[in-house]
Amino acid sequence: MKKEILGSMLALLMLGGGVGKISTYSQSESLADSSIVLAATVNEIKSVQQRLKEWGYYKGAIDGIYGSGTRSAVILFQKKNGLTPDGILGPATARAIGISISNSQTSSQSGSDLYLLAKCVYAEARGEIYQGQVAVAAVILNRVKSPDFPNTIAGVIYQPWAFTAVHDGQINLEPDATAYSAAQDALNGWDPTYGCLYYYNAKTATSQWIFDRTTVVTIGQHVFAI
Amino acid sequence: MKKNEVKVTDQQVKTKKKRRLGLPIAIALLTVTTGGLAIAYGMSQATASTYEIQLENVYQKNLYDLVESVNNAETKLSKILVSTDSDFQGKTLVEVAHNADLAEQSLSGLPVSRNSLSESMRFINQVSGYTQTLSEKLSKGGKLTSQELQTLSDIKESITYMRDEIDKFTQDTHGGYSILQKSLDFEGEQNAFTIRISKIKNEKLDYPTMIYDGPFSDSETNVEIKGLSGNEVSKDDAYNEISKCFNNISTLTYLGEINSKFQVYNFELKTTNNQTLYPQVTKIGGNILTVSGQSNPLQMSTISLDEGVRLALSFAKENGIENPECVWKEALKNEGYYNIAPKQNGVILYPDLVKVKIDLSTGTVIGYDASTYFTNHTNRLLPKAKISVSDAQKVLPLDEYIFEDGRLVLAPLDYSREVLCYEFIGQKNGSVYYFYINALNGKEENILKVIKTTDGSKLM
Repeated sequence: MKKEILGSMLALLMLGGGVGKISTYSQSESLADSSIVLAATVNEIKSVQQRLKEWGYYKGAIDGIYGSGTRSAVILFQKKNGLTPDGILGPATARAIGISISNSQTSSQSGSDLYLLAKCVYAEARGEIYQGQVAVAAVILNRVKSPDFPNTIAGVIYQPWAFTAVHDGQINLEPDATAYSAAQDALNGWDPTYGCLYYYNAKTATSQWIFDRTTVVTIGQHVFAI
Repeated sequence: MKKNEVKVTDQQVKTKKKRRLGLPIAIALLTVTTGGLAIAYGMSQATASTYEIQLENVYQKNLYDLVESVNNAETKLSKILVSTDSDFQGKTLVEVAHNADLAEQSLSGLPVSRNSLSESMRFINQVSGYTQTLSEKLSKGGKLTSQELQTLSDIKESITYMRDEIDKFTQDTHGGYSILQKSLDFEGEQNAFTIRISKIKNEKLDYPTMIYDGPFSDSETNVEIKGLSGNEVSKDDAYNEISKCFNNISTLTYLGEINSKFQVYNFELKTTNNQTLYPQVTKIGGNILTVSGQSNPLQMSTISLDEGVRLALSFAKENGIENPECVWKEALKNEGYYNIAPKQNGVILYPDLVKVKIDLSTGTVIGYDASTYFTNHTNRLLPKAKISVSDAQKVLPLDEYIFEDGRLVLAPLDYSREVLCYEFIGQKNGSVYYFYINALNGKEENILKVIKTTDGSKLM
């Protein structure tokens, strides 16, 4: 993603599933399961349940909820029909069941920028307050926009010697929900530092150089500077 | 006795045999263990050495790519300066921009410590932005001014100098110079590689100033704030402003000031639902500028995305956004995201976009960003549309797309331009496009595509 594109993207970037769709996971199910039927509406799930019930795969209620009962029925159906038994109501499975899922995910791009940004936030700032995590993500995006730094999110994050947690491999830890949320907010334009390009840990920073930068704000352990 | 003696002798023989066997076994075991360790060590050394070679190769590739891009940019700039043909100049400027992009990528992949090459990085990025901006001007029928030709000539001189220095450096690297080794060899805060390559920019070289409106330009980074007015407020006023806008405050703590592009008071707010939010209030005018916070992802939504629109609009209104209208909404888990734009004489002002995030399980505003609004908002003299919406519609590929009715918007284009356009939303095979037709001359100014990603939609 080049800088000029990033500009227009940031201006209007919105996050979320399909407009007007209903998230169908219940509280007891893991969040990861929500991706199974991200784009299916209650009515679409009801027709899946109806068909699977008629064919004897499903014994539960026609309630439009993609719970564990429906999931097992889908897996059973997939096994019997030579499909990958992953419990995911993807286009192939939907077609085999004979319904069309609106807004299928086939044409979607991956949110790889978000994932990479969330990884860096988690590696650099887990344990910091929420505002501090958004601020770290914002610094990365401010660097992408700045002429003094590389022009892509990956370019900034993987610039040699730029981030301690990238250098020592912590970047490869899986980010948590807070890091994701903070990365999303920053991609959406939030920047609690209003343009900072640097931050350092006030307790552990040893470099004289960094202290010469103009300090803007201290959030948690991090001092943010221009 | 003899039997016994024999027995003893047998035992002695056995013992002796055991002793004789014991040593070789121990030696063999030792040999095997040592050998195994040695092999394992050798292998890990071999693996480590493979990794080293791989990484060194990546660094060397970046260095040689950098040399090539800089050489190419220099040659092409020379040609532009001797050419008198605008088409040739325009085409070649695009190539220079491309070479500068490649040079930037190569440079940022080298193990330079402490961003010591930031000045050179800025120069290369601005060469890319500047040449791109000039090529766009030429493609619209413009000509290079003598001032612009002078700047291009200065750029060329700097690049020649840079090329010579990089040449000297690559000469030095002949004969087994390892970028990797030198990058790990720190002298104070900079590694030996950085110290050496930083010489491509020294006191003899002054990078030229490039004046333009485009990518990486100084005007892009030093934006003037137009939307804030009024007196400077105290932090107590800021405290009261937040108290007015949130009706579920449990505690509100002052965290300090932030003096950056905006000057704000920073607070931490705990709600009665035990959520933590961070509102910031501008010193000038006392407006809430941003709020950051997150929902509890395990809670179920209790209000719909549409109900959230009302909450988002009323929050924006309370914070001084004039005639707000929701122009985009989307839900992710239990959070509703809303883009809100003010209207002036019925025209949607996209440059002044405000973003609101509502927790759909509690109805609380957990995110708010009016920094774009306060940067750009001003009472504009909007032109009158010269063509009708039905005339603008004729530009559209009507037989291919299903269109909704057009509406007048002010669209931000090309970094500094704001253009009165008709916005049409068109659909084809499930893909959604936003078309922008200039309301003064009927020209198609821009097309944005709604791109569904695994993490929501974006317009690009």
